[in-house]
Amino acid sequence: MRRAFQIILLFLLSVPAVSQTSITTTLLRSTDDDEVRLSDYTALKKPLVISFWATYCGPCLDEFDAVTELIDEWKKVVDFEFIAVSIDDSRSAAKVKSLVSGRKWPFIVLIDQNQDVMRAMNVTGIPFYFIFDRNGKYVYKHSGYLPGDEFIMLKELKKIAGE
Amino acid sequence: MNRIIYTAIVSFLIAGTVFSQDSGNISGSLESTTHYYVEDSGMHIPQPDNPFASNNYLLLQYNHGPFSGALQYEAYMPPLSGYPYVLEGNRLTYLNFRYRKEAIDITAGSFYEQFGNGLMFRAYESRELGINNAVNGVRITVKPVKFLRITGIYGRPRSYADLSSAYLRGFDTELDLGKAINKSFGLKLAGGVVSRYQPYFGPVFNFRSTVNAYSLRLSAGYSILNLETEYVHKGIDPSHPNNYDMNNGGAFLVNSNLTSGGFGMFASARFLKGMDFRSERETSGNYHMINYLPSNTWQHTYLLAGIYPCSTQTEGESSVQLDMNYSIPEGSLAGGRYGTRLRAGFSHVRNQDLLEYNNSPVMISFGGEVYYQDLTLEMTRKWSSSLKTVASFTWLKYNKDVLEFPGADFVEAYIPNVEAQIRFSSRMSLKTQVQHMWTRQDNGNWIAGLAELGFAPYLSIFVSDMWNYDDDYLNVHYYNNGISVSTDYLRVSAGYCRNREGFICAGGVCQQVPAYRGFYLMIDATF
Repeated sequence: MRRAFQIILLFLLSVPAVSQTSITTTLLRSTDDDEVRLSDYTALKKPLVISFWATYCGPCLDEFDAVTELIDEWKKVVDFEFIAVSIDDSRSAAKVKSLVSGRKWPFIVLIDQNQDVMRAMNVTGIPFYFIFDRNGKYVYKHSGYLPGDEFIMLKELKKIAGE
Repeated sequence: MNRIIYTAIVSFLIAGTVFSQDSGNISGSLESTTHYYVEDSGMHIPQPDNPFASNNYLLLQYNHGPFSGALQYEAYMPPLSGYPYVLEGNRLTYLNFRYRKEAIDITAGSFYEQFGNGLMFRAYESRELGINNAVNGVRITVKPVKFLRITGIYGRPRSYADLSSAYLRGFDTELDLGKAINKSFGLKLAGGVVSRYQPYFGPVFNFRSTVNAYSLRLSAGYSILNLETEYVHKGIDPSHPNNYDMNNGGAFLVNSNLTSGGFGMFASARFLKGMDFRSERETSGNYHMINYLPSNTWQHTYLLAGIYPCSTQTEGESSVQLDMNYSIPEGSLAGGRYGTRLRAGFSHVRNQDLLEYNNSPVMISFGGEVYYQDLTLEMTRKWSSSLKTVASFTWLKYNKDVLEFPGADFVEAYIPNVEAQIRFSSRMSLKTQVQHMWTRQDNGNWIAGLAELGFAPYLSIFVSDMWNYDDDYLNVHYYNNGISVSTDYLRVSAGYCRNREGFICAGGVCQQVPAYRGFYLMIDATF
């Protein structure tokens, strides 16, 4: 027990020094069932927001509703790409396409059915989002969603744009 | 051994710090949940001799060009209530080395994998449920051409903290005919085989120690419609959970989507017969499954609707599901200024007809007994920049006699739910929920409420209560009061609760929790 707490303490003190989360090359699928990689989007040379979610996660849907409302306005300020990565397993992954269409989400939605990408990017719970700069370098991450979190997301994107 | 593990992890961390600047990078996560159980006089549950329990997971990953490695250290001291006690202790449970470049991907060591929809094979981790059936062995994936992918696996699946006595070997191949022929038309053909060998030392002559399963998948999509089917045939697999049944198993799944701007409809049908496929034939429960058979129903997350979750009857069930989403345009009379979102879901699960000569289920058939049914209607509407509401109603039927234990009630319940989200400023918000469940069966009526005060992005304070006020015997409150704090890489939640086993969302994060009463502390770090 004591040893485990030593390890936890060691990590909590040292994680900022070794924080190196990067965009993974692990395969996932588009809603049209094409194989894609998150690393493919770094070629766009735009800041990326990568947000993990699931169809059964209420706070995730709240976050995306808020982003949907604001994203056009934001893109006039910062040219960025928003990518929603669904971690729905086979119970609900097939529902993602109809949910996305029904809620008119104006961003890219990908499916990580066996949570390989989630694991590769060290995500332990949803909602969870990362922000990467134009060169694919990690800038910011956040766990959970509370109303107002979307403005923090915009603030971080503006920092990248140099505003 | 512990000292070796400790030294290895610390060395990994120090080496990562030193070398991560220009020789690849190190990343990882830490997840720790600790409970302190107290006596529950209301539920007549005494305090355990050791009131502390703690589950801890440390994942470390290293990437350098096409090479990567990962290790996971787990410590259960002891495991949380509801988790298998054989997990107690601490150990390295996951270790692999991987090479990925262009058309080839090779993993040696532990890996997770899924073929198709998982009806035949899925190796995965669910920390919320204590399931981890990662395979230890070798996996090779090749893409000789853009439209063909072939994956082969060989290894032994994990069994609790150790390895199973079974060996798995298999392959899966996917041919993207749409890409090969015409890009505007989606057409994929796929198939695979999984074979399980588990030595048998019992008295039965010619007992089948090797069981094979075969799958065939076809998916097609054009314009607003797409369709996906999978058929699995499983060989004779006598085991404890199926009462040493000597019939073949099978599964058939059809999923379809119809989508058009602002509208989406999902429809599904699934038929299962003798599909319990596990690495240890003498075990029961979900810890040794080779395949993955979640229930084909709406995944409820509201407190009361989660009381009666559907569980899959792997030896025989037929199910259908329909899920529709529609956005009423903003600016219209019905949609209001900000638009309104509607969602409707229906699912129905029942038994199958039986063959007269051997009482074996007919796979594609509907019998006369309902196992589960639900109908949910949900409306989400934003009224102003500071007020949003969600109203839903669920009508469900739950055959507790089949899904839990013989002799129990057939439950029919009606559950209305109202949620309001109020924004006081760009940072401060309040979320409230009120729910009620009417039922004349089982433990009778329930009422529930939740309030969460949020200060984005760092802090949330939440209280919730479920009260089974109709139960004259227990008449208890199930509450959860706590606080959650978030920084860039760290999230800490703490609280005091009495929980039913079920799925909860608090502080913006959703988790499956077992039944207990006491204090909890959760730490999540991603780095």
